[in-house]
Amino acid sequence: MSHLPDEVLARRAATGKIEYFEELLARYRVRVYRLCYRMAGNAEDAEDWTQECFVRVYQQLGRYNAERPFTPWLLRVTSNTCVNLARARSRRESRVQVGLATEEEQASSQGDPLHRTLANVETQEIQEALETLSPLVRQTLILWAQEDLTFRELGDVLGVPLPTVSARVQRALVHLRERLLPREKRVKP
Amino acid sequence: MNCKWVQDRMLLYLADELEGREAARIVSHLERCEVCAALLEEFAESRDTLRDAVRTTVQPPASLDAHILETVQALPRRRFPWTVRLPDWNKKSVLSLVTGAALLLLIGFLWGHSSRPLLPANRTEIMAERPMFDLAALADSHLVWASNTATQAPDKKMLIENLSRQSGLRVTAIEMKENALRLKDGAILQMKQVPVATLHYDWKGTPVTLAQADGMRLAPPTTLREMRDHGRCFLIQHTGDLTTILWCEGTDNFVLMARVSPPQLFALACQVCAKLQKAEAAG
Repeated sequence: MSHLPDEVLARRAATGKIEYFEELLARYRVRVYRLCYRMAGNAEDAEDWTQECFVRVYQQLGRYNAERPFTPWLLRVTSNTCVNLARARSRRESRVQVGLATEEEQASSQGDPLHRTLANVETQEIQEALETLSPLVRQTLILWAQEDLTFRELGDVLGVPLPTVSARVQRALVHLRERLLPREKRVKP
Repeated sequence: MNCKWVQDRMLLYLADELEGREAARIVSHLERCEVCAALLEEFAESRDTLRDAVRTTVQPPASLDAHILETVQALPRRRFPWTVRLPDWNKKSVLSLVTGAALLLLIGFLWGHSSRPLLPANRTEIMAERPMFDLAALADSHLVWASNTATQAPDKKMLIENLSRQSGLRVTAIEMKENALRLKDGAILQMKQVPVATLHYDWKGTPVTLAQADGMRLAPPTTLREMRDHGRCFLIQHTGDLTTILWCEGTDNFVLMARVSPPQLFALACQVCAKLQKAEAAG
């Protein structure tokens, strides 16, 4: 089964053959989890969201057109699920600080060089900045940055035209830059 | 050309997704505009930083797959779609039959729709929301259609013979009824306002009734027992001496009925699935 392309697996999984879905799960588990992790901002939610994403994929396999590539379809279903989950979570919690360590955790780890390497600080800051974006813009930016999709492919996944996608990513990058770079270092467009 | 035009296309330029002429215009502008050149550098740096950050490896917990599979397998069954595929082993025959049946249905529907009133209005609300088919009219129209075709089938018997020849099955009767289906031995099975079409044929000497039902209205009762074979789920009901087996194959819906024991019909259903899988793999 491992030699079969995704599209064939998906078509067979759509007929209720769970073993083919299991193979798809094995192929995409890390990728979907990573997407969920970036969208959710913490490991606990990422696990729940990944589960929800795969359940949605399974439920919607009947609608998948096997003549089209599977990966963009999967990314569309999973990332849209993440957007919906992020919106639902925002509604539940008026003030959400996902993905951030608590103040106590930060205080306890600040003095520990093993836990606070420069790279970690930067990643943490970027994650925090990502959290300030709306779920829809975050979805676009994460898919673009993490999945290494071209803008054209990204447009196909999101179902929006190319100029819209590039403008959305550009706005998000400007937003991140404003949050991450000191004011005096920014180039004013 | 102004800076805004260039800045709106900077990411596309960095991704090498601009057409040659547009890219050349941007290069020309960057040579003269220091602000845009600096901004381009900044976008490239932001992009690389972001990519490095989001691509740091995060691994899902090992238990995740098991949880997902458990959840997926516990999901309620999907609703049955309208179509039913015949359990025929010969793909070409199936295609011929399905094409013929689809044509018959279309003609019958158009004919019935234009010449007869739709179903009486004393339906439940749910029924009223669904498209309605006057199956008696469809059955009549099949005969009309058959008598006008090149095959010159003059009656139902000839139509059955034609279907048998096309499908490779020994079709013994065809019926289209509303609210009930008639088994091969003449028994009536009420379907609670579900329009059904039935095709009777012999399978190695076993009389089998294949039913096409409006699946959107066919909610399998919860009393149906589940049986599994190689991960596939079958719903089985045994009432009196009648066994019914339902299962899904993609968007297709199979209903097998026969006056045989559940193990016998289950064995037949498993064989049908195996044949279909083989045919699909070969196709």
